[in-house]
Amino acid sequence: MSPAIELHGVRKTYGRTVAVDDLSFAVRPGEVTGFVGPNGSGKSTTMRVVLGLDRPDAGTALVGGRPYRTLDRPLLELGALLDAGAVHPGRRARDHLRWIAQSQGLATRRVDEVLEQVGLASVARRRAGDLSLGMSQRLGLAAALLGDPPTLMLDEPVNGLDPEGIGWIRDLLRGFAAEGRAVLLSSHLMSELEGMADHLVVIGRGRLIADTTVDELIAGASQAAVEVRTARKAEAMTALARTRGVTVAAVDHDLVTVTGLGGEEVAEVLTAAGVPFSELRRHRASLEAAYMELTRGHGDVTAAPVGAAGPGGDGAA
Amino acid sequence: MSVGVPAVVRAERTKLWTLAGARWLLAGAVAAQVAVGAAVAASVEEARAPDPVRSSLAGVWVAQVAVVVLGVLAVSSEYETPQIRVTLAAVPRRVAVLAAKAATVAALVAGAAALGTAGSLVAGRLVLSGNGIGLPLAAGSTARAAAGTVCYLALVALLALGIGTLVRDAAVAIVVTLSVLFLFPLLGLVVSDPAWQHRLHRYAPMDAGLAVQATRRLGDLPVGPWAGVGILAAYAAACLLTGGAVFQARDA
Amino acid sequence: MNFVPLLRSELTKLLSVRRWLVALAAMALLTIGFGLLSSAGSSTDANEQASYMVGPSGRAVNDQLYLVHGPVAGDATVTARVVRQRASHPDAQAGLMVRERMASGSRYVSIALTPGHGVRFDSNFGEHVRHAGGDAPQWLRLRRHGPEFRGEASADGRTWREVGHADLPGAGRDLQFGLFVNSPQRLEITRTAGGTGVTGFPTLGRATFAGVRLAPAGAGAVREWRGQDIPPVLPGPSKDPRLAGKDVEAVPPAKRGVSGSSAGAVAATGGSFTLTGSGDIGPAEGPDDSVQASLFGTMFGLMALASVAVLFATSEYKRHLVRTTFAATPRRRPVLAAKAAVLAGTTFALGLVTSVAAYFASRPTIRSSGFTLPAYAPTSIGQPAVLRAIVGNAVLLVAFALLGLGLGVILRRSSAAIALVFALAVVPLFAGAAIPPVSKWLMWLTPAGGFAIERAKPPSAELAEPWSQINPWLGLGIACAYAAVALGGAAWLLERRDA
Repeated sequence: MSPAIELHGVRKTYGRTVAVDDLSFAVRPGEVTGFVGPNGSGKSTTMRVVLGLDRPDAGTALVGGRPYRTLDRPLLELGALLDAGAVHPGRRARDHLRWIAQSQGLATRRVDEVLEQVGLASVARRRAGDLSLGMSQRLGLAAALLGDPPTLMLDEPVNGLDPEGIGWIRDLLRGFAAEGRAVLLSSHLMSELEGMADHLVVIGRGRLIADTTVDELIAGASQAAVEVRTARKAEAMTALARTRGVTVAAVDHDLVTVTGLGGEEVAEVLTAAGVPFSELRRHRASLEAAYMELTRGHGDVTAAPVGAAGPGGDGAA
Repeated sequence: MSVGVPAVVRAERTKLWTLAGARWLLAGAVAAQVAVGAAVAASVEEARAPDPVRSSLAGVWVAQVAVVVLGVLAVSSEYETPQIRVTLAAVPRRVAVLAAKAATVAALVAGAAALGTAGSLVAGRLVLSGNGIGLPLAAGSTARAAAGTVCYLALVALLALGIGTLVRDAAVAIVVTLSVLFLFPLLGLVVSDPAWQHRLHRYAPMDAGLAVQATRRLGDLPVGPWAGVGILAAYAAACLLTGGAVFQARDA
Repeated sequence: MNFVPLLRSELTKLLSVRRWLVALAAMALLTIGFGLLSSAGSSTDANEQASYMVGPSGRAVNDQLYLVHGPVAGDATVTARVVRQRASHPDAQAGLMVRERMASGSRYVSIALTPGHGVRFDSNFGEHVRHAGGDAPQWLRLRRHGPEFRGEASADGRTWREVGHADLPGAGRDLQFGLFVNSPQRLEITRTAGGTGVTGFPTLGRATFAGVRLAPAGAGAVREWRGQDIPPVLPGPSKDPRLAGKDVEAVPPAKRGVSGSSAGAVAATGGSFTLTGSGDIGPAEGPDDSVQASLFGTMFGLMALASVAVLFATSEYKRHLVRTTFAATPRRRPVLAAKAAVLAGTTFALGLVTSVAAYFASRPTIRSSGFTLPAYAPTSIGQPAVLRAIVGNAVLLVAFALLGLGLGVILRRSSAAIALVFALAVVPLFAGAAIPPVSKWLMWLTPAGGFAIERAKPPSAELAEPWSQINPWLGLGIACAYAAVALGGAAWLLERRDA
């Protein structure tokens, strides 16, 4: 099946600032693709290029195999949410959706359907400027869903949503992917994508760092580490550290992680040293840790601390 | 303990001076005043030389458009974003905020106007002398016209600031201010009843305020030079006070 | 791609922001309200001041000329060749006339050569004015058939072309046929800040006619014709010289008539006549225009309209709404075209209703302000010039709205765009009124000249309003050109710029 969104060698500069550099990746149907990178890494720029809003200096971005600007009724191909604040504050929520629907030749009935779907039916006649941050986010999502598109592209959609809202959007997107549709979802927080994304595209400073599945990423980051639970922690560490190229770290009062040795080798060393252990297992990194591991050494790429959701990630514009 | 007035003024000055376009507007006002003034002075012929000083200072008509935009933006820019909440969190005394804004706008515009007026007179003198018409730079009436022009532009900026505070939206405030300034004198053109005409010229803020530019035939003016500036000042004060009262009462 | 959904979409956008609807309503109210105010303030005492010559339709007219004439009974044709004409005034006339009576304000039909505007056919003070090209020497012919008159011209006396025709219904059997000359006053207009001064200097027209013939043979003899000033020069009877054969009558030198009257003379040599005369024939209405006064509020309404037009564009940029718009419709020029079409349609409809309302609302005030017969003819919406002013006013509003839209897209900031619309549309009016030497230039160079379309009367330099000096269509064209350039620039930039 052809990719829902594909980028080939996209480069975009603003003056002397390189926002996106030689970026290529594809978003496939039936998957939720997480698009991750810290604030200012070029996620929003990339999405604007996909939508034909900004012209790339080099490369191409295709939606369903065609440049976005050549699509006749684009919202039936791709629903996008870039900036939930992009509304006229004086216009009623329903009117905002109405003009968008009309531009695609969609019936007004569809507006009421999506308002219902995102849970805004009760505030449809409120002016967009009077909506709360969470409601604006839902309104933006409603606009993306209007054309019932096979592909969704959302920039930081959980920003401003309460936990219930985050759960709701997670279920919505999972369901969307399960129907065989494609989702591209950006976030500057890897933790937000845990349990939501199947595939990950990681960028830093406008460049592609990783294009991989979530499982592969975690496996890659966890590969070398083995966790050992033992009551005689000090002896175990001494024994293990004797081997060349091995790093041992105490994690808890009875837990150490070993890197540089496989599980069997660890068992051998500990048995030979006569140190008993109660548990030996491959360390499975959290997605966040894997991301930290991956982005280490990419210059100014530093992940935000987990849970500290910053204000809107407007990208590198 | 509250912050001192100088600190508030300093803060407002920084805000206005760093506002995108503020410097362009001031530079534009000066350039328009000098260039238009010189162009008008060049059109003055000896035979019908009306008032060389007033002609040289005619650039004020165009310069005031830029001044109005600046005066309005000084306050409306706060409302375009939630910045006004930051401002009022920092200085909760709203009267102080508005007063500091007024002082800043008036001072900046007066500075630019002084530059533009001096430039206009010098340029006018050069252009007029080419046509054999003298412009007495040292005369008392010239000094009055020059000082009055600076006052006029500063008061126009305050009028715009007052209206801007009242309506908050830049577009509406600019339209309202420019209409108050320009359209009443235009109405005077079409109205042929002399009594109405006199009233319009006497009480329209622009006509009244610009009477101070006259250096000849003062008896023909609908209003005395400084009295006219007073009328404009009354408009500006009324708008500022109303704006201030609304600002004080309104939720930010 | 289908354009209709885009139009619907932009229409929804325009009509779903309450502030804009309020501003559009304000435009209508300001236009009508200030139209009333300006109508109330524009009073005229023209009817009380002067004693008027009143034409057949009850309107004040000028009827000043020197006529060499005689009575002709029944159908006849008079022919003459204008050999020479002094270029005393571009509208000076030398030609043939048939009139009912010799009194001022009588019905007439005329065809004459002018130094500036070729051959001119006319009847009853501007009822049937027709122009055709031509220079002296020029053959002219005026033919009566019952109540119908045809004016013809010829360069050689053999091939004739009709310039115009008119009826004098119920005209009697005996009419006065003759040769006439006149030449209007040369007006010197001084523009001062906020006003104009008009001084008139009489000019003396002079023309030589040859080959004057009257047909059929029984119609009368040109020899019997006599010269006469219209209106008669007072006091005392004028010495109307009889023309007899080849004799050269000694005529008194050009007489100074009472103000405005003709001071003519005739000299006949052989078959040729040389006439001198001054004065003007036509409607004598002042240039001030009551239709313009009722539409004057447009200038105020315009500012409300301009802010909507500008915001219709800039609101897209304020919160990156334009990204939503262009994500929905990635082809940007159709979006701009739809915006422009929706704005133009709305503005035209509203502008037309508003202009008609302003016209009718101010009628009673206009009448009570002294714009009545004989000094001012009543206007009606059925008159082409009035209809043109009203419809043209709506088109002018469209032009200004599109200018605002284009500048809004180009500048993306409402404050800058509105200030610029104002600087282009209103500042020139004021600067033009205040700085007389540049007023006409300003009207030619800025869209402010578009206000000329609000006048139902011909352009006139006698008024203080700077826009009254230029041709209405030219003014409207300039305003439309500005709008087109702004929209073109917007379309060009839109494709090149990141959203």
